[in-house]
Amino acid sequence: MVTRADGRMPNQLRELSIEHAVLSRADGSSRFSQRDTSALTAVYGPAEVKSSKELLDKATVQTVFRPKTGLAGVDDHVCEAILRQALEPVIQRTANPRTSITVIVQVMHDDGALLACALNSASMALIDAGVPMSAVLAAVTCAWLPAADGSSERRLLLDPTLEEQTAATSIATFAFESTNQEIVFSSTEGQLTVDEYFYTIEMAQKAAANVLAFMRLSLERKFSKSV
Amino acid sequence: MATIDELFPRIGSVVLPGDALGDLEAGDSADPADGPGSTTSNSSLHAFTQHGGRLRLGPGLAQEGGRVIAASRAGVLQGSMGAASTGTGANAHSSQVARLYIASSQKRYVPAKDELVVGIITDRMGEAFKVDIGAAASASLSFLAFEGATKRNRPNLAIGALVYGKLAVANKDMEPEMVCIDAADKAAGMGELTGGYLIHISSGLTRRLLSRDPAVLIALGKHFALETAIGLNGRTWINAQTPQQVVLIANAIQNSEFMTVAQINAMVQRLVQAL
Repeated sequence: MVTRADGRMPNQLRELSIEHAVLSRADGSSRFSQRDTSALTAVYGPAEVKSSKELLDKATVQTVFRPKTGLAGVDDHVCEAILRQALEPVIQRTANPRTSITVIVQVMHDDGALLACALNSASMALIDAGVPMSAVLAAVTCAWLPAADGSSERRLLLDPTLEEQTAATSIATFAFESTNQEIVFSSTEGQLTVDEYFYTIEMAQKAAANVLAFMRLSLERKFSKSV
Repeated sequence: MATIDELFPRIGSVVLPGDALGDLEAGDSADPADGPGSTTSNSSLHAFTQHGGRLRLGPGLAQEGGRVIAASRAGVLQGSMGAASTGTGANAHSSQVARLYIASSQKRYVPAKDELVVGIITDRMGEAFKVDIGAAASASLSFLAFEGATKRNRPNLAIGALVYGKLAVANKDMEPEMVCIDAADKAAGMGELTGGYLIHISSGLTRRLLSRDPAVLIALGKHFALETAIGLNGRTWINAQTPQQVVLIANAIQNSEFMTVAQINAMVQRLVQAL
């Protein structure tokens, strides 16, 4: 089997690391890193909501995605919408009606699979804030690379680096919830055949289970220290 | 009689949102699909409720789909078994109550009825004060909800004043309502807090300060007199004879969050010696 530039197997994730409650002023925060890719999330809420955004029967989820440098562009606003779509199903929004839950993701460094890293970090920050949730969210990015020399098949790489991502013909990010490992969010760029798509989901689901196991381990450590 | 650990094998361990902790309707006979090695004692939970046992779910837990008890936040699952008597006289019979909750720590306050909170007066609106209690909505505090207050004799609280009170109304759909009197119309320690200093701490540390033996307060009390008003909204008001002592108390409480009792005693000793 062909190994990757950084020595990983195609279905191997980079090493993960989580830091909980890194910010003192936010209600909840976490920094999630997949080796060099890293995102920091702050969660505020359930807090007062602007009356124009108030929902009578549920909490308003607001997301902000801040790039590493400069002002947020169109791509970043797309990420905000994606984050909101992916997080809303796992947050028990009816538990705190007429409030706002604000999730602010700050990109610390992008070395590929940034969206998955942002989702994972937001998931951990929401848990740190104690926001009622129906499940934990874990996300994985996958990339399809053109066939290597001497082979006719495209290759699927999990958790791609930026280098792999730029060489990719299509990129897909999936988020799964923890109770039944069901897919709650899917985003794809580029073209995939139906078979490729389902194969990608299958591989991402297995990888997400590992991400989730790591999150659980990390939270167990955190709570065994504090209680 | 089943113990709480038999009903919920995960007591004492860390649970995450979405974790299923018990199934109320699983049959008495072990599910063959679980295999012989299955350690979940769902069957005994079913038996418990069938024999009149009751479940009381605390913070972080909810019944999902009417049968599964699921966690909605991360923390350590805690519980206890107690007796509850129902009915009176000849009809009285006692049944067991299994109490279950998730111990976790939060910074943001979600109001709950009957909880004591420290609030800041932000506005006067007609017949009531508006009080910031650190929750999503501010609470209202009627002019008449003070000991000895009448229509003519109104409490004179300035904007920015601190009050210690109890939440009389707190639910997710209504504005919280606060009072500074107990059921007998007495202040009972509630009312305006004058002087002193306000600190912000997590809900986990607040609950520890309110426990029967709060190590840090006991250790401090051995050295000098101190006064506290501990609000479950994460705001704690402290006072002592000198400003130096107030600063020391504030530091000691905030330092104590992740310490053992021995560490707390050593820390307080060190701070007092430096005073």
